Amino acid sequence: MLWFEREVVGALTGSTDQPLRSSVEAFVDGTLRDWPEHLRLGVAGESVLLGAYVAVLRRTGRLAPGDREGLARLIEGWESSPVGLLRSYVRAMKSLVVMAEHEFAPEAVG
Amino acid sequence: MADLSTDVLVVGSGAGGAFTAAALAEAGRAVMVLEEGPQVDPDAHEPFSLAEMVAKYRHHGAGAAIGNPFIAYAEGRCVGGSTEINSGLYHRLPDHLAAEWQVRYAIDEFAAPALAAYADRVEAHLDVNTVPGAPPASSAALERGATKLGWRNVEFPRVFSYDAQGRGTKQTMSRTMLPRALASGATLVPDCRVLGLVRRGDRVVGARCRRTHPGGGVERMTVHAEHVFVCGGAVHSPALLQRSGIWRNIGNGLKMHPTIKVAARFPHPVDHGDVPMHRVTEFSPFIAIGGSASRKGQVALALADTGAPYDEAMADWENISTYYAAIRSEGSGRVLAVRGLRAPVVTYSLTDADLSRLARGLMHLGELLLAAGATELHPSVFGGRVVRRLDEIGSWWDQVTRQHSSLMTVHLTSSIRMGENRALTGADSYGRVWGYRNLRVNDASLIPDAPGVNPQAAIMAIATRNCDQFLTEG
Amino acid sequence: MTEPRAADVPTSTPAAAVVVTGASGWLGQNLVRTLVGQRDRVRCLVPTDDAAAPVSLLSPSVEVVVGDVRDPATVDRLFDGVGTDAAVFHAAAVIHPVRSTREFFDVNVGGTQNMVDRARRNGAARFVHVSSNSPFGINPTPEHTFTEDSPYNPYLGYGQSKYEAEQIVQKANDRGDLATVMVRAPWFYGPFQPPRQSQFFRTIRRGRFPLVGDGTQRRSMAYTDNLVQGLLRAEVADKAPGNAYWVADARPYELREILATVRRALEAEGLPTSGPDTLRLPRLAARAAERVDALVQKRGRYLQPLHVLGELNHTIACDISRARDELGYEPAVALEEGMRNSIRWCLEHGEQL
Repeated sequence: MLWFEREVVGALTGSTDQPLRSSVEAFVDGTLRDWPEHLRLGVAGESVLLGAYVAVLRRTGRLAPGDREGLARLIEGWESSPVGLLRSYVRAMKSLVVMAEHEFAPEAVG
Repeated sequence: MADLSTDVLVVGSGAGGAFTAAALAEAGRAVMVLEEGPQVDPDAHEPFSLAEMVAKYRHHGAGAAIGNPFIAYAEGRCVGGSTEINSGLYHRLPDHLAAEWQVRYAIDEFAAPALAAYADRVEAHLDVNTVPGAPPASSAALERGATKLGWRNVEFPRVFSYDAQGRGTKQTMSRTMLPRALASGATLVPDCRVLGLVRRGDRVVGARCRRTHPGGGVERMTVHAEHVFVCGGAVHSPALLQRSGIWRNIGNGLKMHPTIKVAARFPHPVDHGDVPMHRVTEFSPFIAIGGSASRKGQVALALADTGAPYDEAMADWENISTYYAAIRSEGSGRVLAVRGLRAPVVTYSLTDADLSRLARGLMHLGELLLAAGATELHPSVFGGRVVRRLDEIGSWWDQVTRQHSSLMTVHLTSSIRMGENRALTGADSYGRVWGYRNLRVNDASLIPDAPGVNPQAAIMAIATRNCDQFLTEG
Repeated sequence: MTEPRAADVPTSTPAAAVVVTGASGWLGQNLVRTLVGQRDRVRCLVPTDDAAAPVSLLSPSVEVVVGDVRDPATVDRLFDGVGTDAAVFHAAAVIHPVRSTREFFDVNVGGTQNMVDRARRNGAARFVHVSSNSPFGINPTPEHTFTEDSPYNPYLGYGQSKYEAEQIVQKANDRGDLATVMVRAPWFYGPFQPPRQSQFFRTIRRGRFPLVGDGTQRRSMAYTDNLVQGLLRAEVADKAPGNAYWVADARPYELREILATVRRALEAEGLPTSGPDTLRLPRLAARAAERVDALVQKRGRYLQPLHVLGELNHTIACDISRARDELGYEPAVALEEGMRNSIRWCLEHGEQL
């Protein structure tokens, strides 16, 4: 998993429980590895571009370095972007995180 | 480098491969089954859990067909294939579709009575049952809503056997046909991916494989065979043929049942361990309505789709279940094996009519769930309105767009259509690939169009029929 | 108006209450005007407040519901209090979409499903569905005429949507708790025409209407009042439920005959014509238009002139014998009279021809 992907997963994971956060990250990492190469490549490419963009935002002070909620808001904003690939990127990452976070939580079946 | 040889080589162990292996082994043929995925104890994981997805699904269940929009899909990758991970619903191929396809694709021996006879045989091998006693609450909701609106609905039988206490066991291939094949002398090799077929003129003489041993060691080998049956499913069968240099009408015309969802909140708890077995057939053959797996993760996933905060609803997740509307699609897709990539590129394009049908399906689904007593409906549409009353539902029509709909499918078919109409088909009426004497396909790829229902029954019946024909041919 | 054969056909009593969708449309306004004198209640669905006014002013028996036929709650309001045994005339449809071809499916299919469903739940006596020639495409040869037994062959998006709507209506009938009749109308003409149709008269008057090929291709047309009579017969004829009928003028016309007749009608209404009798256009042009139309529609777009031009090349002709025999339908108005009525209506409503 690329640096920025780790950031995205961290930002989108709601829980503060560290073991749970690690499990989610491990699941997303495993899924990305297991993905069809062309999809993985596309996501990696976007991660690089978006990572660079976020780095610029941080460098210019428009996003505080430790601001996880700010980053989450930024990422979720991309979900309504007119750019289809950007929407798909957020949706894919978000669905992996959401699914894993709630499945790893206790009593998933109820 | 071990080289093996067999009379019949079956690639894949899902519904098509397992039925093929059992039929041919029981007829006394020497059969070897190669399965790319692992052998997994069918009792090891809770159905639809994340652990199961990691163990048994390809790409952890996160495959996607490229298009506008992307359509997520799931398929099994383990011994038993998708029969290990599906809901077990069993529905014979509708007669009117078989009749239509028989003409369009010029399929021999595809009339309703012939297919019914094969379906009878399939059902004699598996336990096909409805649920003993009352259906689970999530399924009863479908029945209740449909009855209230006067919509046709039915409890679909499933390939489940039930013990005296009413506990069900899904009759997956790893529990049924594969053990039968093995009992008749077949060999099953898991963790063995077929890289390509070895062709010689109009024959296939074997398969080049890559086998991963339990310790992690990797071995390349060639399996020589007199006959090869490719049963990798609608995505991986065409991909394998393409990797082997066989392209004519292979991989185009992919069909699926694009599906849109609603997470419905009820004023009472709903079960989450099972998938509803009731289906609303009022809008068939265009639209089918049913229930989806609804563990906590799937509920969260469905609630997240609108993009609105869902913490409040999630706190009440035990009262929420997810439902779907699946359409027969006018669009189609493609499977394309690209040199250097392990996984084929899958594309799918929806037509405007498809989009409209999805919107309509969502409307019908919403109305049904409100009638069933749901108090809150979350559509799988970004920016979609969370609906609490019928007069709010009309807004969904314009919200279901290519940009904002989150779609998925679990049924993929038709990538190597069968029939004598050579302009439209990749294989003959019995799955023999055009241009090859001993190469056959025997899985969902052959079904020439989306069946509008769970395809496993059709796959099993067609596979049985094709094996019969193979055996009489010698 | 004489209906010589009507007496021969067994019928039931017309419903006292009727529900009409598309009531402010071209056909709808003609239908509602005929119904208001005959029935106790005429419940009308119109899409907008603007469209409501001309319909609601017709008679105290008219009750207008404004809303979207795609919306189940709107259709609930449409049926609210109408009681059982109402007759339903479902005429709402999109034929020339404004935004994208998806409207064909949303409205023509989704609307029909809503209407059929609510008609059944409200115990409607009969559901008369206005269909089209488009599910059948074009005649396979210039001499061919469609009958009710002709196979489906939907023509582009509109045809596909009307085909699917027919499937829904037929299925509703076959399940046994709603009696449906489908009336397949070709190209129609008559009063209350939309502005696009004045353009039709203007171009013919100036000799600019394209006559593709030699003009011998045949087109069935339906004068709106003929069609209204067909719909009313479909409501009452005992043999009708479960069936579909072609309803049009007595015979198909050759395209060149249509153009000549319209020019004659214009002259007779005091509108001198100019230019050549016909503007000849090679078939190639129409074929090209047809191709481009199909391509454009595939991308979800719709260009009306292109679509119309593409269709002009072909014979679209139907045989109304079965409607005559089983509905007792008899078209009373023929082309020249009908066109003169239309032209007069345009002039009375300030249209510049």
